[in-house]
Amino acid sequence: MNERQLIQRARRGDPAAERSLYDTHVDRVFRLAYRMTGDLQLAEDLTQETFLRAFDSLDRFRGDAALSTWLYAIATRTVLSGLRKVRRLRDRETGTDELPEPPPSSHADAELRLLLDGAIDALPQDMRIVFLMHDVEGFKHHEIAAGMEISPGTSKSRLHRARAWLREYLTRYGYTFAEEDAS
Amino acid sequence: MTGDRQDQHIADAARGYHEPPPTPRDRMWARIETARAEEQRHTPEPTTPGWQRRQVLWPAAVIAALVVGVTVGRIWNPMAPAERPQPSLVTYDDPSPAFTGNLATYRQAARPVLARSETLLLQVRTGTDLAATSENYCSRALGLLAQTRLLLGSPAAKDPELAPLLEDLELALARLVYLASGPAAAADPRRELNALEEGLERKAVLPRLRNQLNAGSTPVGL
Repeated sequence: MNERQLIQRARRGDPAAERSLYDTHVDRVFRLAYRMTGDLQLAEDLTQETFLRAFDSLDRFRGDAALSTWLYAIATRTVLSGLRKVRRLRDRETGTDELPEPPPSSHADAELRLLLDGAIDALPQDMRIVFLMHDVEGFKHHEIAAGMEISPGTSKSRLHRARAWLREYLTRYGYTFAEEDAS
Repeated sequence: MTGDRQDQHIADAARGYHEPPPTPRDRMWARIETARAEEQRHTPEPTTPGWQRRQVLWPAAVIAALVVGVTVGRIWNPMAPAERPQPSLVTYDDPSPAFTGNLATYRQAARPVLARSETLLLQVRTGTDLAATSENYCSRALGLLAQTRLLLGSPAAKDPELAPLLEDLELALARLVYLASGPAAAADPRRELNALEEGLERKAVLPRLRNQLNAGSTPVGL
């Protein structure tokens, strides 16, 4: 059974079709939610909410884009909305492109992960989302753009800025990229 | 190392950032099915007149989203201080009613919801065995939460007396749903119940419910 047939059956309330659509896409949705939140309970709740919204609005899916693109757009908006609530509570978003004050420096490659975790946390949210979706989770720019309601060009621009920001952060805090092997 | 290689190096290392665990697909699917079943139960009849027909389908996603709002609040600080602003919950592109109507009408429509909510919250506060009754509480809270949200999506949201009460009631019911159905129910229900009660005390939800029910249906100034 192809995806179009599954969608038609799901619209008629076929539970097996709904479960099949869910099983096909849930991993990617959950991974996105977890990458963005780092919290299992919140990631589960946001994933559930994504699919509830999707099933409730499946009648409005016109099929002019892939179902995955449509679904991941819902997921992105749902996660962003959840993150806005977290941000209001935590008051953690700096809202600027300025680098934070440096922590105690560390040069060892073995600590790249630790340094990088802090770097990604410190990334302004609009860049962090694009970086995680594209470079870490493998989303395409048109998928990111649909979810964030921006153009693919803006998505690319934010990714470029995010990468430059991370390189600068790591360099500033003492990380040294290995030289390429000349041979 | 060139910029492109640096970017690739960073991307490879970043795969450890918030590395997701295995997807708990069955657990999440069970909750989705439960929420959709609740949605089906609370979908009003097609012959329902007036403003209720304009709110025909209240997606279970709203119910889940309201629970998410409580989850978000818990992640930051489960014992919220009085001065911390309450989180606003996920909003949707709700269709706006085409008319405003008389606020007295909506206050009257709200009375059964307020009365049943008062009953439920009092039972939760005075009940001795939360675990045994959590399924019942969850089911009733979900239904009342859906009706509260319907009211908040109606012109009742413009009522200066009723709207704040509905908003606080929405939060309390969402917290009760989370308490009665989520991991908290299995972990430490008494602790979670104490947190719910503290929230009710801080916002004086029960006294305000009683005042609204005693006040009748005629809004002040109208």
